Amino acid sequence: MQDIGRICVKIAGRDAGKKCVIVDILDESYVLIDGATRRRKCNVTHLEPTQKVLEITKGATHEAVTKAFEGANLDVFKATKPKTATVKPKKEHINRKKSN
Amino acid sequence: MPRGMFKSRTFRRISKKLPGGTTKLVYAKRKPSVAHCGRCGAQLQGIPRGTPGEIAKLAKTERRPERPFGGVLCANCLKDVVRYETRESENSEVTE
Repeated sequence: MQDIGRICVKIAGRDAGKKCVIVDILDESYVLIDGATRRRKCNVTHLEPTQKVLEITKGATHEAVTKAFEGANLDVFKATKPKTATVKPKKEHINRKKSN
Repeated sequence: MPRGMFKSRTFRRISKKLPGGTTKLVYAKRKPSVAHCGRCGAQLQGIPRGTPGEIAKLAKTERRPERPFGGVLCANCLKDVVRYETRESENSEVTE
């Protein structure tokens, strides 16, 4: 059984490979996770624990979890770079038609 | 006489019964084989079998599972890969 605040990586499902934190322990086999993954119940066998532990209270909200991740300087949420339009040089139009 | 190319076994023969009572032989192309995991060779689920033209008509989500490496690795192999990557990154952080 994992402890509350332990950072884990999900190994199954469409959130596989994403980092999450254990928010609450529901059962011998189920925990409540939140983080880069959806906030939901998860089987312990689908988590790979890491060495790090975050300081969060039991049942913390999504905002509290996000703050804790930022406080630990962990780049968990993928920040998408804003796309800037690249200015491409305009090609000169060469009129290849045979002029009569 | 059937066309020479229909004698090849890449085409399969189907006996079709027509409304008039006669039976007609129809030649149809075979479906491509089932997809297999790139790491262990097990059959993959969630990937339809079809010719490239049939697959192109499907929506993107209908072609492969929504998992990372969906359509390439089976679920068990993905678990092994994620576990390995997590442990490698942990070890590299510890040595840093």
